[in-house]
Amino acid sequence: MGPFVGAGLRPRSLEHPVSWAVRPRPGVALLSAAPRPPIVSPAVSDLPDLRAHVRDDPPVPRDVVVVRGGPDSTPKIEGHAARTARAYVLDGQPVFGVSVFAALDDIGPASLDGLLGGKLSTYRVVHLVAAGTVVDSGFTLLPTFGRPHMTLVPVTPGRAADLLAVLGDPEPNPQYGETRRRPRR
Amino acid sequence: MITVDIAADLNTEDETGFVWTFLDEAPDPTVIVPGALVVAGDEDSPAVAVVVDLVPHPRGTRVHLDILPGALNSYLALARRLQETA
Repeated sequence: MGPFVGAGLRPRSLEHPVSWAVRPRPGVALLSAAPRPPIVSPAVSDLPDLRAHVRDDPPVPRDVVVVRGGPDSTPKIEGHAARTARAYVLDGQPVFGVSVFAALDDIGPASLDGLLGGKLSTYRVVHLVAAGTVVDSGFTLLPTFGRPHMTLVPVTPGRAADLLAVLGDPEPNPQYGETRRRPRR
Repeated sequence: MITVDIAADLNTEDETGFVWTFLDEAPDPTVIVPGALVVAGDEDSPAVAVVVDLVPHPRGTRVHLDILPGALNSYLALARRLQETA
């Protein structure tokens, strides 16, 4: 695929899978006979819960490439994460997250080529990082909505700069301007 | 500099498979109607999109966008050609 620097990240193994460790909160009032209301912020409890849209995927191998259309900046990441928190909760709590895609396949729409020339073809530049690097930096990749979409959490306001550092410098998208349609359900 | 019709993160998608954002992120919400062709994204990464629908949400009105393929400049060039021949 030509001069694409991030392509070197593509081979992957299953030896060190990435675990998305965000789990539903345990039940409350286990030691009390009197039932208590669940611990949910009333300010956000009317929002849809992202947990309902988490796919039952196997763990993401560490060397799978995570792709995000760019260029990103700290204010942009903060804004996008705040938009997610405005729209969703995760297990009843505000969820600050940003959308990314994982190049899970070697060919097809969920491959790196498929993403760059499909869903991300309107991006002149993209950020590429190994899934293992994302997780080692304290973030979690939640497989949400349609494969291979992921929600990267937590991107609370104080962590946007950390995420920007993890994403690294943007690289040219060699398939920018492709006129294939983004596959839709 | 490009001014978008509606700010959005074009990486997003939801259960519909479409990109989404909120209506109040449009400088002029009156142009954001189902079927409208709009420029979405941000000044660094704008894209042409079709407004799919507007959906009530507890925190506002959610907008679904169908991102059209191709670079924005290709659409601008097309518009210029059409203007020259009109």
